[in-house]
Amino acid sequence: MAAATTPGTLGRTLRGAGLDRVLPYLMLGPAIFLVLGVVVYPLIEGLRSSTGFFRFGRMVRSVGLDNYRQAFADPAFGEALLTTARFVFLAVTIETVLGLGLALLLAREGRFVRRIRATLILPMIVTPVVVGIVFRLIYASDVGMLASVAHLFGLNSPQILSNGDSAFWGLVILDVWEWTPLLFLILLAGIQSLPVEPFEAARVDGAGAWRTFVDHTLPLLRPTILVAVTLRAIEALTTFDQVYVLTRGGPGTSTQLISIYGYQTFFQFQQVGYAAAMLFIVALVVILASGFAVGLMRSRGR
Amino acid sequence: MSEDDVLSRHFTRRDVLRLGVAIGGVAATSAVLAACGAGGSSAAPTLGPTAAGATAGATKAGGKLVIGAFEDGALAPFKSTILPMFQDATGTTVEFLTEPYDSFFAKAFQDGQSKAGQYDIYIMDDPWIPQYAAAGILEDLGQHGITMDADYPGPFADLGFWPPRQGPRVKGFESGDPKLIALPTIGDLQTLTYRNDVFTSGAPATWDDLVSQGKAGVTAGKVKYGFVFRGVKGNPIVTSFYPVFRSFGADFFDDQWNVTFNSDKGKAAADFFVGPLKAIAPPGVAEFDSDQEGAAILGGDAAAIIQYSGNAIKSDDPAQSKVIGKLDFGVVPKREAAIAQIGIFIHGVSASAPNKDNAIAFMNWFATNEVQTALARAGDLPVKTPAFTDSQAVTDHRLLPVALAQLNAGAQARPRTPDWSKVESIIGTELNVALAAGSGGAAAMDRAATQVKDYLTQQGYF
Amino acid sequence: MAEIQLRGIEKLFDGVRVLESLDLTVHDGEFVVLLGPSGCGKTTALRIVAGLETPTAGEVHIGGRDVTRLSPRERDVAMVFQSYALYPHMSVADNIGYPLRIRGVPAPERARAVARVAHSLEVGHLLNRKPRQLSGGQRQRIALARAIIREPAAFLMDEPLSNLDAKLRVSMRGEIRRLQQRLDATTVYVTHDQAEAMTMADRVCLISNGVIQQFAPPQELFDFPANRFVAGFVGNPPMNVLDIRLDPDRQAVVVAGAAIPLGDRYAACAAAAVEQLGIRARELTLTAPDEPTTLPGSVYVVEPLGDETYVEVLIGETRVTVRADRGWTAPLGAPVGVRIDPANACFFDPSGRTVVHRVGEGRPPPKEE
Repeated sequence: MAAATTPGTLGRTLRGAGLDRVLPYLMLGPAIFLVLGVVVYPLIEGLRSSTGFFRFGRMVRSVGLDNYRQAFADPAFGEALLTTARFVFLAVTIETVLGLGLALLLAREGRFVRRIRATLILPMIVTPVVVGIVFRLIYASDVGMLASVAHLFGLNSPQILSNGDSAFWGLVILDVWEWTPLLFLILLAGIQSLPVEPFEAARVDGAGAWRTFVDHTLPLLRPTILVAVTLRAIEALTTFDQVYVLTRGGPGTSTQLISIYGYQTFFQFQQVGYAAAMLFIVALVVILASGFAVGLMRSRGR
Repeated sequence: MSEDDVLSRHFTRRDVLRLGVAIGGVAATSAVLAACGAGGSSAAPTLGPTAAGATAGATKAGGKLVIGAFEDGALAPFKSTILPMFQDATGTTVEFLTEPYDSFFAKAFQDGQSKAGQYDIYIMDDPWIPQYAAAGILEDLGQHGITMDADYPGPFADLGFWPPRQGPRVKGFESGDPKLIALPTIGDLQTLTYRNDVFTSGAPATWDDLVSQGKAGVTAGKVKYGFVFRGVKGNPIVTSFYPVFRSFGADFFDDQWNVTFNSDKGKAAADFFVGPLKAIAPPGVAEFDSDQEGAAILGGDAAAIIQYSGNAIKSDDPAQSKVIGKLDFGVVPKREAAIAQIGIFIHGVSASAPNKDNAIAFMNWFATNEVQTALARAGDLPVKTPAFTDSQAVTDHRLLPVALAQLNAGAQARPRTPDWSKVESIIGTELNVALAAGSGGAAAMDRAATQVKDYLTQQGYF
Repeated sequence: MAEIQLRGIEKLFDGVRVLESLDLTVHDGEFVVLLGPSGCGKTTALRIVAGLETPTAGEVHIGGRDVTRLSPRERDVAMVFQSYALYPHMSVADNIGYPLRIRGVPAPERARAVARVAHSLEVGHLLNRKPRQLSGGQRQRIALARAIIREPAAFLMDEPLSNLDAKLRVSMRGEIRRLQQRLDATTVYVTHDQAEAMTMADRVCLISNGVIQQFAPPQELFDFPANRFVAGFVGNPPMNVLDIRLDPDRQAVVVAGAAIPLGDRYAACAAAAVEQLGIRARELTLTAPDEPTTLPGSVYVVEPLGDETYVEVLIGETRVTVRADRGWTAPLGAPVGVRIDPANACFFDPSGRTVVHRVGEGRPPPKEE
């Protein structure tokens, strides 16, 4: 058979040409090239841009770390970071609690439950821009759904998007609506793959529902929860479309997430270097935060 | 650092790509990329070659011409009427390529920077001119014998020159003769759209008239709101604020880019905007964008709005308007003046155009009164005065004379600096807060002034 | 410790009847094994006692208390699962101490109890490990420790030894039995392994298709099977069953052409119209062929076990297993005679019920019909 003879023949040929030592590296070549080209090179270029001053769309001169200094001195950047952190924390926390609750409720099998599960997934498959539009139609103070409901009860229409706090919470609620299903799905899969016997053992040992949840469900689910929360948090950091459609970061700066500010700085204000510097700072924060999460996973998993 | 050094550093297409990918490599930026890539690219099909033996007037160059533009409904008559006319007249095959707004802005700029020669003519939004012209990617039309003749309304004509003929100039361009680098393509400006059953004696002459008569209309139950405008932060609110602000006699900068928008007049305009004007507007106006503004007037809720012509012409479309016959057009109300914002389509020849002769031929041909009249009849605002008064065009499009009246009464472009969008963002954010609160317009202008001053200092303006 | 009573327990899963009117009393301190083939309903019965399943009908009483509608935690029973069901995220000490923690026993007292129980099960050195670092046998001991630490009203064990290798299984049998006797603990133990049942139980409850076949001490099950199913399930090798014909003239049964006189037991057999007899391998004797009153057969296979030899003999079309002395051998197919001592045989009626038992001590009193 060819497979039996070829390697030996090929091996001799390669040794003859001195290729046998180089071959492994040659074969790794494309992968290394890809990594260099797709990850390393752009990162270096991005870093270079972040040290530049741009004018009329061109890098005019190198300014060293001035862009980074500017970021730390820029109150709008700090505010955007804080707003983003607040948004991510609140949205992901609420989504995790709701998702876990739903998953626990709907973990058992049954036709009715299956149908509910299928329905729950719907928000996730709607395009983010569309979600933004839908919620604008809900919140809008003139023709919005909430306004109509308020009128029905003889109340004034709520001014959700013209008030800073309510606009921010409106955004959080939008995100919760859109992304709780993701947490629900991941946690449901986690719950359904838990072993049955320890839970029966706990029942016989005398643990009630709450004790079982705290002593067994949560610890056994912890790796799943951490993965889900980390994924969602990283993704929540990049929330853009919905905000842009819903509020454009307003009113004032109450919903100005870092993604919005970065987008404006790069595309609208054409401050390429400064935008790059800001986003590198954000990336650093994200890397540190997810590294922390991974560490948490490892230590508790043991 | 001199401007020569600046120009010697070419920001090439490759640089842009590299930067784009680099930013993509940064974990938190996927949203930004998603935002810019969302529209995708699209290209209009090539208009097929037409029968030879074209009419007189233009040179029979043959060959082809590539025109690039951002996607906009106002370009539809241009594409369907004007371009075939040019093909018939010259035998030149025209390729018309469009991209979404942000995408074309970047793509055309890269094309010019890298001298890729993808386009012969760029159709731009007028605020793009400072960056495009400063980068030297637009051909000096004067060298080809093209002039800006007197038939172009002054505010339109100014936009074709770089450095600007009047007003402040950005650093590096303080001296030097203005060169003609672009010609207006399609006109566009703000005018007033109002309910003739509320404003029974015609368009309100002053802002105070607008408020008092608008209020009366609400009291009489004819409309729900006396005036509706865009209140969302950033560009929308500043666009709506602009005619109030300029009509109050205020301006954004003096000739040295010193901030002047927090002058007494500017503050008065801001207080009027967030006070009396908001009082007759919907309570949630701080969240309104053009869709809600348009819905308010077409749905019969608003007594008046100020809008660009592209939206104004929907007033006569029975499919969109519930108040056909009740909407009329007028010049924006006056305080010291009655000044509207203009924002026109403007086209220039790429310095790296592969078919430069055809491009120049198109420019000359497009500037003829015959073509301008055809443009007006097709439903676009023309850019030369005689076409505004063509009787057939006026019969078909009653906005034309109002637009001309507005041009004569006062129409101004936005300040000519690539940093305008940042300035607009700052003013728009502060004003939006004051609008939501219903007070504090003057203080908002002061806060914005401080930030703009800091920003311009940082950008090396002073 | 307490008595467990099942009264008329019935269980349906999706309309399929798994248990049918089960009545069972486990006395205080008794070790009862629920034995049966897989799917017979024995595990379901155990889970009903534990409270992990609710019976469709019937009542469960533990220590005189009706616990049918009570949750597991209110029943005060401990359970050992086939897969041990240790808590994977807890240390061995936490696993053993968990039932006490639930009951709010203070930490120091709990630690002492854990140490004591761990010591008695020889797992004291494992307390800081996690379950996944333990061998199967060690996990089994931890599961037992967790069960005994809180001194429950009863122990429930669901095939606790079936995941262990054969050798360990045999030694654990003894240990569990010793533990149960030391604690004097009421225990219900589920297994499909009749040898386990025979060696460990005070009484064995043999279940098939959701119905109790016989509930009796192991020896009685072995010697006086209530029916053909019990005869075939209990004992290794199982009881031989041979088709017979009644011969009224000779007051005998005819097996494969050979008449075996029954004497005074004939009347009872004839009254029930018996069709089969059952007899254990050790009650049969191999003889030379053609000896009178022996069954003619031929050697099918010889299985020497070292200490003794089992020979399968083909009689007519039926195979019977005969115990022979060590070293007995014959070529396959060799003709042999098989002698039956009818006193040691039992007789089944057409429905498979045992109507005439063997003659001997320990015979159960006749059942009241």
